Amino acid sequence: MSVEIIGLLGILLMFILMFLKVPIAISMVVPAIFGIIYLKGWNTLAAAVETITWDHSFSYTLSTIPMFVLMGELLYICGISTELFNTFRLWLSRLKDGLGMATIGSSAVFAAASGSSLANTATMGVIASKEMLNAGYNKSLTGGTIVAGGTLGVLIPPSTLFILYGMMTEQSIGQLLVAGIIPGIMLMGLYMLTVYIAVMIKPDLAPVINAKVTWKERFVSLKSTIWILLLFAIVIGGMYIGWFNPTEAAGIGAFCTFIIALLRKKLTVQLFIQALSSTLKTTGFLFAIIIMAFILNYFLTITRLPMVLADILNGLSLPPFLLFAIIILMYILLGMVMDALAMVVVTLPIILPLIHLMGLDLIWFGVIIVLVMEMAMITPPVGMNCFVLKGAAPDLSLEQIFKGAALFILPIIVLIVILYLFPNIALYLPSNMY
Amino acid sequence: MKYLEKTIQLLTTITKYIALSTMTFMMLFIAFAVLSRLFFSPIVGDIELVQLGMVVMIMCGLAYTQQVDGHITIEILANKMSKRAQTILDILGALLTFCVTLAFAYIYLEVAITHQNDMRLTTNLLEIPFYPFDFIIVIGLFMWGLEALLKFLRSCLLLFQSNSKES
Amino acid sequence: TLVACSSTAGKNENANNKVYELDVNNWQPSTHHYAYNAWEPWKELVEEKTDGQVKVNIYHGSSLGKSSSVYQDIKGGLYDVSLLVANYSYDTPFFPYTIGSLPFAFEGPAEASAILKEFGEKYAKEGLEDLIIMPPTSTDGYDLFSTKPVESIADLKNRKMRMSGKSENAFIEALGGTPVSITSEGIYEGLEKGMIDTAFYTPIGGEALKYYEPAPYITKMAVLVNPLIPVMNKEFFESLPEDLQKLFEEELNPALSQLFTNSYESELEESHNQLEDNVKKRGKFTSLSVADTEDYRKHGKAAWELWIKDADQKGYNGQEMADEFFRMLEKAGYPLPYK
Ligand code: NA
Ligand code: NA
Repeated sequence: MSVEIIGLLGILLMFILMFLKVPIAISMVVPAIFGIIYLKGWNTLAAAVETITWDHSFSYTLSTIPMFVLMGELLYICGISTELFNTFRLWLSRLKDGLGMATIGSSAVFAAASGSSLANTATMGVIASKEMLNAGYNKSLTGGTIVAGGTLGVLIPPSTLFILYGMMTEQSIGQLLVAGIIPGIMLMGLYMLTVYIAVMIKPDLAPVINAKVTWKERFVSLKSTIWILLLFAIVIGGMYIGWFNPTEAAGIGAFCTFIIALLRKKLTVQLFIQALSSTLKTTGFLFAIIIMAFILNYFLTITRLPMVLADILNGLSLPPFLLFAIIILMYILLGMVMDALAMVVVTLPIILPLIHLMGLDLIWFGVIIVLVMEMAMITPPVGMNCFVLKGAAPDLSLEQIFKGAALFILPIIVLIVILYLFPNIALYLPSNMY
Repeated sequence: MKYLEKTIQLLTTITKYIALSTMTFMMLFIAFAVLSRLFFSPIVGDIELVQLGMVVMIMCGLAYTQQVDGHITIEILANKMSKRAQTILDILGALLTFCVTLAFAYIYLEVAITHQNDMRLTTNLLEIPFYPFDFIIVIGLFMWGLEALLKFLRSCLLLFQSNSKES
Repeated sequence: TLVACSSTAGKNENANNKVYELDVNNWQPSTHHYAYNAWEPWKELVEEKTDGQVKVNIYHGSSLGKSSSVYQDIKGGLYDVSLLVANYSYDTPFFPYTIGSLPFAFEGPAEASAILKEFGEKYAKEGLEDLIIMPPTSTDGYDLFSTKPVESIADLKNRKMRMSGKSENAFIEALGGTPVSITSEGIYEGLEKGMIDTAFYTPIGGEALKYYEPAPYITKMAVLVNPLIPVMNKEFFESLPEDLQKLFEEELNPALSQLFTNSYESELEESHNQLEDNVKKRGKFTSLSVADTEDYRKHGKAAWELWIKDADQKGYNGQEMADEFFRMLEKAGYPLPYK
């Protein structure tokens, strides 16, 4: 039996276990355990468990995840994120799908303070899901809107993924981050358009508008967002001025929210423990998945399955456009079953020479990679954003979330096509930096 | 069973509160480190402390996550099955979780002992030894396993009860 | 097995037709000079010299493991060959090699490979029997990247200087700077946003990652190198027939080390030229005067003393090792770290 076949069998087993309701983390690691023992022996498995578990928990960068999640929980508990959301809601109240748009708009604003799409989803997930469901939105649309809005977290700077990509490809991290701004705003627009069109085609996805909102109310709502403006001024401003780095920004954000909650007298010991506990739950399952995903990743790498795939692509001498389309398609498929991060770490080394050959710009390709990773985060059965939302909003089932998320794959693809045709949209800002 | 359940739950609660305290500490510490760097002097080893905090928080959170059934599953197929079949799937999931976490805890126990006795790895600046944190990983994984065992036993009991009712 | 059949046929009748797969973990990206200057040429060399009996699979981009855990990973057999950074294995039996990372121990990889082999064979033996150690080499010498002009050591007083470890910490404190810990991923942004004013970094890496953009004042000082040791999994080595074992030991392994040394030497010149070119308009690319060099070297002593203490704690004789190290440098005609 060739090693590639073993890899395929491993993936098959993973799917079987997943659909048999075995926890996703465990489903990923069981085939990896068997595979590694079969191919390399127990000692290698032990070494893999040793270093992978340590690397992904003894991690400074990954501390942004619990800290931004905690910030979101605290923002929710002291009512601030609800107010941000409300402001958007009031200003967009004339639209039948105003709440959906408000979710995406506030996600985009929040993205400017958060470097991770998981944190973004977790934060907006708690508030927006309650509001949208209470207002009578369709559950799938609610879930889809939130996870899609969450993906903006890594496209609009700061972004942990751009930093990772820059490290791997030796591209300027500063330029990469700036490259995400315009595409990020465009994607926000496309997401809103998606909600608009979806509700236009199927009006029963969104409730009828009944509330009448006066301009006075709108401006009053602005007043109540002073806290969040202050918070963003500190977190984003502090990061841009250089008071702290993006990793620390997460801790600072949580700390400032904690202080604000105290000042507004909204925080009791009970509520604080509640916020900590739900952060812990999210942290627990996310890191279980992260660690197991990297063990699976090691197994898949030694079966050379990802490489065989890329080699096949390399072997077909196709016109650049078609090759690019195939690469994107491959990422869509891989992104379904793999963790987005693991996927890129494994394939980038093989894809990069191809990109060089095609004469594509690596800063531009960074934006494309982040877009395909965003897609991977919302496609089933392995879609981190959806898992996070499931954790933050227990009322939504995973199936409903994935169903809704599928709608938002289209705007991502549209944006990829636009960027392919007009690469300057991504390259304009970075090329004018120095 | 009652006794076992109580003991495991008590232990999980302890690990949970360790994790919650660590999380609070990390939040306060990161803010303190930034303020200190801005107004006084940088704290040597701040990154290391956050890293170690992460290990404690993650590992002590695993069992709690299992306790509140927080480890994500895909329920598309299971939802279409009978109650009995679902219980059997729960048993499978809990059993696999138990085996995997116990195997990993065993692997890490060896790591911890090696780091304690033979190769004392430490953090770079503060020279804090890794091995106590290795033991925390062992405990975290082991507790996760025990919570899974609890779920396994509960589901078995459920299956047994429904069996005896039918017959 | 096709490769093996076609190339060994008729050449060696006794040849085992088995193909040995050798997995290489390149923890750098496929675009890095490790890939095109060292790993790829070595793959060709190995496959050619072994007549295809050994097939080399290179995995780029840390996909088999990170650079920080090479020691554990190689022992556990996660892969068969990789490059070990001595400093990431400070608490392992590789500790003696970390002497090479102290301030001004070596100016570059040629010196490091000339001295470290003998030094390692003398002091780093115990505990390393379970892996195959190839001849050591090192990175290029680190230069100082600064956001503001640095004319003399006095200019570094109270500057926020990025440090990555104990010995850098001691060196920076001796220089009067304020050590700030920042991950290597955060250097660019740290310099850009003023969280740090300076960073010691390899000119090859600093050029590739464009650190000269936020920090255009670059002082060429080769303050330190990072010793690198290519290593091989022992089980893999022992699974080979004897003639291949001999081939690796005598020819292929030393060749790999040489490839790394050459790569650093050739890339360094290129990078220095590029850096000089890039900061022409916005900053300054300076070399140290003889007097300044002496001055910097003096300040490095604190880091050496710290290392000697660590060595003693680990059960070595630190002072004796340092003395012997100096003797070796002197004998080979290289400058001493300090006087
Ligand atoms: Na962001
Ligand atoms: Na996916």
